[in-house]
Amino acid sequence: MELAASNNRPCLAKRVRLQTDPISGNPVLLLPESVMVLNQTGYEILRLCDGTHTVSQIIQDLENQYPAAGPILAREIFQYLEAISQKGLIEWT
Amino acid sequence: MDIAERPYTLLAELTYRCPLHCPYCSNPVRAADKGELGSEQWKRVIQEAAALGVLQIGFSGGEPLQRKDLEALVRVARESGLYTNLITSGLRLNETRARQLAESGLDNIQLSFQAAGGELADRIAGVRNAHHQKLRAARLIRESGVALSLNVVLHRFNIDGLRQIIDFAEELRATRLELANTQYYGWAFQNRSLLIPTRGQTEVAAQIALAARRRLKGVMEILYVLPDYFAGRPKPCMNGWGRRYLTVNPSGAVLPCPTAGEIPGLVFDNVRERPLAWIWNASESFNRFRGTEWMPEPCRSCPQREIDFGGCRCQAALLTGDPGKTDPACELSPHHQLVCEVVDRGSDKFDLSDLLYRQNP
Repeated sequence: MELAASNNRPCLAKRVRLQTDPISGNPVLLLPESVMVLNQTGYEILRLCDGTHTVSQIIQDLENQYPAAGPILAREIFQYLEAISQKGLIEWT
Repeated sequence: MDIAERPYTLLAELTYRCPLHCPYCSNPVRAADKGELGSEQWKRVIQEAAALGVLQIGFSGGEPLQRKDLEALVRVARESGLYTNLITSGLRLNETRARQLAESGLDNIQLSFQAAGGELADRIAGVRNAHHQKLRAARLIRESGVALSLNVVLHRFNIDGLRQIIDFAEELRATRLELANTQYYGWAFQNRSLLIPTRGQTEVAAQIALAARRRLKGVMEILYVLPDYFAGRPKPCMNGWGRRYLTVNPSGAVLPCPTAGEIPGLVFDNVRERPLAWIWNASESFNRFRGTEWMPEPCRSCPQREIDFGGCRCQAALLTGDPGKTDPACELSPHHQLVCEVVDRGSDKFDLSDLLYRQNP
């Protein structure tokens, strides 16, 4: 969990593109050989992976958006970032 | 008839021309010469593909850098909202073109290498100094800011150097390494008995790839799939015929996969005559093997039928003469022996000089 530490700033990897699928309206992450269809939370997290927001700020932002989610949200965000990081889809600054 | 889903990926084969002569090439050995599509035709194809639901485009060939309009086509693809990937040998890439490709919005370049060392690499490519030019291309790509991934096609003559290939990809700071076992179509099919590795070679390679994947997690993505001749079960070719993927070949024929044009008895419609959406949704060729209705036994009642989709139609046609049969790569196929014979014949007595090198159109 070292990379997803609170003060680190995740940034989408260069080869990755986040956009909205014009046909379904779903958020998608585009990669050289695949398409990842995202859920809304995944999209909200990745949207903030721009190299300027820290992990803490991303958590804060989502907690503001989903006040009912409670403390489980922070853990989920850590896990999500860690998983995406292991796939090489985000870099850290 | 099954209802067509929407495609995600278009492979745009801009040309069959290529400066290399790799004997594992899957391009057709005899391509019908109808001339290449022009720029305006390609632009229309790209826009029609985006409207049909395509999200990604791969520019391929042959060598797509042979086309002077590549940069313009990348730009059109980006303007249409597509993720753009260039699949290239890197030969003839220069500083100006690398910069212009980056400025056109190219998202990723997949650069091919034949081996980690220049001498072997050049012998496989059939071109002197090719490896050196590729190293230069890798540097130009990094400087251009476009993401770099590497592709190395594996076969008997380079698979034992897998460790060095992985180190090499790390040194080049690739973000992804595709270790693609040779698929036996086109030129590769002509060279099948020479290119096919031994079972022992593929097993060692799989272990090396798996260990490297663990070690490099988050740094470099490593793709290695056990080759279908050895796997016992067929590959889920294209994730199903006419399901997510289409190819437009240099002359404008629209195919469910790059090698489908070789299947005897199937007629593929052309973007010069028909809209892409009609070809995808309504053409006979795209509907021929959609879904599960077409399947013979043992596929029809197989629990894997919507996982591997009966394997590869091109391979069924190549090996049995009938594209509607179960892929012989499947151990449940009544024709599986056709694959076993080739695997069992594998030995080390062959030499590179026995290979039939790809000729250019």
